[in-house]
Amino acid sequence: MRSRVRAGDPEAFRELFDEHARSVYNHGFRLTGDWSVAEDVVSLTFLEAWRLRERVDVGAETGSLRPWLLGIATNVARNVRRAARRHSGALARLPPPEVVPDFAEEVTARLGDRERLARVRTALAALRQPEREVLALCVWSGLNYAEAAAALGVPVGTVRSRLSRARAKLHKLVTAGKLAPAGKTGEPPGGRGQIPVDRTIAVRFAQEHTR
Amino acid sequence: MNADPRDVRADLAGLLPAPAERDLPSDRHRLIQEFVMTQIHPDYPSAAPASRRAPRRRLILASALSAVAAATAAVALVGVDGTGTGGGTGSAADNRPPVAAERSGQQILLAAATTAGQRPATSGSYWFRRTECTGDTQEIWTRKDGRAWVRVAGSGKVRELGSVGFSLGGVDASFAQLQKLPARPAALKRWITEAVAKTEPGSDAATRERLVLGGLLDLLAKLPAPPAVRAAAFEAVAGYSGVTNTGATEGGQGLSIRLGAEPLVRLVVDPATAQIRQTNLVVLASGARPSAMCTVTAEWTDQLPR
Repeated sequence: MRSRVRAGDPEAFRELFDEHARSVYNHGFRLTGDWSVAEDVVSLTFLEAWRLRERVDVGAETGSLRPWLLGIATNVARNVRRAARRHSGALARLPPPEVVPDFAEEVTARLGDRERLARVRTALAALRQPEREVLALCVWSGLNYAEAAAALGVPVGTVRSRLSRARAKLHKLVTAGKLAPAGKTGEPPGGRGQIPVDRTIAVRFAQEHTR
Repeated sequence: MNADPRDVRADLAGLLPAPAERDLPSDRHRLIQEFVMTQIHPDYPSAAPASRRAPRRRLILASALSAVAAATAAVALVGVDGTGTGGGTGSAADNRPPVAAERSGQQILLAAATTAGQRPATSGSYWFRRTECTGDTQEIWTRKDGRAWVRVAGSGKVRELGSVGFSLGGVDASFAQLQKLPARPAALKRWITEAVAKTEPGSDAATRERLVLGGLLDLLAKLPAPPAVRAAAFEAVAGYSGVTNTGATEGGQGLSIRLGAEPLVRLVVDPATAQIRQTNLVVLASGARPSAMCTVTAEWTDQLPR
């Protein structure tokens, strides 16, 4: 697979997309907080992957390309607009998703998600971008330290220290009562008042306004 | 770094809930895939055996077609209703009941305002809201203190959600706040406008405008607002310049509202009860946008099922 991708085999790319679009989509959402931006992250990540395909290391033929793609997705999510510019406004040609009422995004059936999202948002807001990125890669996407380090192009020690810093900050939040631990359900963070509606939850940790 | 790195990850996983996982909707998966493939390899044939044509061209064609469809729909509406607020003059008017044809959208809304203001105030233990959109039914019961229960899709069981409260146009509101909303149209619209601006400081004017209309329609269709506030909300909606009577339909009187370049906002009002039976404006995380038509029921009940 690696050598086919590196050689620019379109069929290999199609397979790569089928296999990893979901991972990239979810990772994109965790970094931007917006499902439609996450779709842009998916298209731009694969366009970038194509552009950068010759950097794929064929020495490690057996390893999955998922960490590599998540690394690219992380860079794309950092600045979606810039990535879109590189691909000459390619996104403008993609029809926008059809709006169907998504009640996960309204108030009803999936409030559990919303509460979780609210907690995640509180937590992510306390972290710096590099810390958020390693958190998303190592904790949520399940990469190991070496994979995350390679994906981000930083030394493994940097990944570790960013994670440690993230942990220290989150511990502090929990101690201060600003963040309910993951196991606790039912009450919003802080334990008082109403949970903010979805629209305010979604995406405020995105670093930029896209389109 | 003397601690075992595993511990940091385990700790972090314990500190934070895993965010929701979603599948990329399958049609979007295909669309984005085709898009990427044609971008990287313009001559690469589509994987779909049925289509021989370059997908890029197909995408442009698809949007062009939907633009044409939207324009045709708009023309059809104008054909039926003339200037938008006037009575029907086009040939399609023949199909509609004569009474409806004589009333403008604005008149229908003002009549609904009068009816709404005369309805007795209602109350109960749970505010029950049922929304049905293209086969997807949602039911939610909310107490005055904001605690809510939903029927879980699939199992059909009702489970508690926690303190959800109420929301209009994406703005959180308590039951008490809803009762104290201004009962005059201009003041009510101003209240919502200011609340939306506060919740959405970075949003553009068009987004906020849609949220404000979404808030007014929320008040009419989904929220336990007093009769005087509902009357004011109907009057405020009647004040929109793009209101059009689209004729009698199942459940009541069809209306459309043009707001900027968006697809039309549509609703069905029951003139007898001043209830909104259907609406297509939904408030989502990405804003308030016209979508599929949804049938709504909202009323007090004393029973929580099961």
